[in-house]
Amino acid sequence: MTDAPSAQEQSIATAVKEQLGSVVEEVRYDRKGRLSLVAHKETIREVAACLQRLGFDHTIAVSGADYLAEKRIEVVYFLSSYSRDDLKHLVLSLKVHLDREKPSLPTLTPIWESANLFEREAHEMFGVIFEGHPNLQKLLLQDNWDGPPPMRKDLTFPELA
Amino acid sequence: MSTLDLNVGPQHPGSGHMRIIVRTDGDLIVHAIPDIGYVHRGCEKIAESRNIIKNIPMLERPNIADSSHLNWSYIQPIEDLQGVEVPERGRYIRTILCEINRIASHLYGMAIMAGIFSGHTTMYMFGFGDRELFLDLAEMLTGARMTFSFFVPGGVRRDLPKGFKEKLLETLAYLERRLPEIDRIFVSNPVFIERGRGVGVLRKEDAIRLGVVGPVLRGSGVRFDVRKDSPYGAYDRVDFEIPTFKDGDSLSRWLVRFEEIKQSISILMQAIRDIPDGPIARKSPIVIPKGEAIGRVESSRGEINHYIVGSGSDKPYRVKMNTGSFKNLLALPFLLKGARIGDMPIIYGSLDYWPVEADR
Repeated sequence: MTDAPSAQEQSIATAVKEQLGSVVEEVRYDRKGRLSLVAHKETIREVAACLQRLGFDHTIAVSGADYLAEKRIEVVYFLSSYSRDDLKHLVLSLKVHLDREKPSLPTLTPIWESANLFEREAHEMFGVIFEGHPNLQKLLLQDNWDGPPPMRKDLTFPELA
Repeated sequence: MSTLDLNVGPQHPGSGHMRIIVRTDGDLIVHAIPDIGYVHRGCEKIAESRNIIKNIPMLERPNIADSSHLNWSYIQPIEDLQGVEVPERGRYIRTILCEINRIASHLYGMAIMAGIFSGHTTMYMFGFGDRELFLDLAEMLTGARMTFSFFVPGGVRRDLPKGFKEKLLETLAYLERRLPEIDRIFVSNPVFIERGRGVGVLRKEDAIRLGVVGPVLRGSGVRFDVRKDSPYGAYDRVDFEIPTFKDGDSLSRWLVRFEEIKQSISILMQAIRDIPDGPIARKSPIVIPKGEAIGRVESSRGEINHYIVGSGSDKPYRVKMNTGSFKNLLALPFLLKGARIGDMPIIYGSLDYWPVEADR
C-alpha cells in the first residue's frame, strides 16, 4: 500500500471519476493494479453501465461480506477487461453498502452477464436480493436448507468454534 | 412438440458430482440446466474460523489436480495485506511447481475429459502414464504427489532438493519426445478432429460477455493470460507465448491445452536455468492485518481470485474463492442449447470442468 499509482493507473482513475461525476465520491487507488470505488444502490445501474462503456467488460468475481458490527452487508463486483489492453492488468472493485436488515439492490446481470452465478451465490449465502435477476434460485445449498443465509456472521456452528 | 427431460448425473462419469437437467426434443437439446452444489463443503465459512496457515491445506483441496494454483491464489492477497515480498528464489520455485502442476493437470484433462469422453482409451493410458512422472517431480520437491501445501506467506517451505534439476530436465526431455507421439495418435487423429471441430462453438464476443477464463477463453480467440497481462512470481522473467485459437469449438479448447504443455516445458527450462541463489522465504507474521485484497493467478482452468478481508487477528474475516470452473460453468448451458445429445460429453469435456472447485 506504500507504492504510488503508475501514470496509466492515475489516468484511468481520473477518466472513471470524470465519467461518473458526482455519483461517486472518489476512485481509490488501493495497491498496484487495484482500484476501488463505492457506489450507492440507487445509482449503481448508471455507474455499472458507464464502467461497461469504459471497457470493463466482465466481472472476475462478485462477493458478499457481512459486517455485523457496522450493521451492513457489502456486495463487491470485481471488474476487469478482455477487450481493452490498457485495462487488462487492472481489477476495479465496485462496492455497494446495503442495510443488513433488508439488503437489496438491482441486479447487474443485464450489464455483466458474467455476474449471474455470483449474484445467485451472494443471494443464498448472504440473503441479498438482486431485483430483476433472471433466476434467483439456490445454487450451492441443498434444496431443503431453510435456515438463515449461512455466510452471515451471526450464524455460528459449534463445530467451528 | 413433445419433449423429454433427462437427468444426467450426479454420478460419475459423464457429469461427475453435478447434475445437468437436459430437456430434449428428439436428440436435440432444448435447454440444459446445470445443478451444482453436490460437493459444497462450506470452505469459505470454515476458513473464517481457522488460522491462516491451517487454512492452506483445506483451501487447496477443492482442486487436487491443480492444488498449487489454489494455494498461490490464497497466499497472494495475504502477502499483499502483510506487505511481505517473496524473495526471488522463492518466486522461481513457486513458478516451477505451478508449471509442473499445469502439465500434470492438462495431461489429466486430456486423458479423461478428452480421451475418455471421445472414446479414445489410448489417450487415457498415455495421459495417466506421463502425468505420473510429473507427480514424481512434485513429490521430490514437496513431499506430496498432489496436495502440496507448499506455499506459505513469505515464500515456500523447502528449497530444491539435490538432484532435482537433473530429474526435471530428464523428465522434460522425455515429454518432448512423447508429445509428437501423442499428437500423431490423438491430437491429429482425424477421428478426434472431426469429433470436436465445429462442436460447441463459443464465439469471441460470447466468451467475453460470459466472462469465461483460461483455455476456454483462449480457444475463442481472446488473448488473455494473467501470467502475461498481470505477471506474478517469475513469469515476467521468462519468455513464453499465449496459444490462442480462433474457432471457439471444442477442438480449439483442447488444442490450447496441448500447446500450453509445450509452453510450460519452455518456462520450466528457463526457470531452472535462471533460478538465482538466495533465501527461499521471508519471515511473515501469522496475523492478517485489517484491510482487503484480491489476488490473480492463472490456473490450469483459468483465472482464480481469492478475495480476503483481514481482521487483524490470525483468522481471516472473509475469504471468497473464485475459481476457473465456477466462471466457466456459465458457458455450459449456453453451449448445450441446440446441440445434440451425442455431443454433450465432448462439450462438457472441453470445458475441463472440475466440480469440486466450483462447489467449494
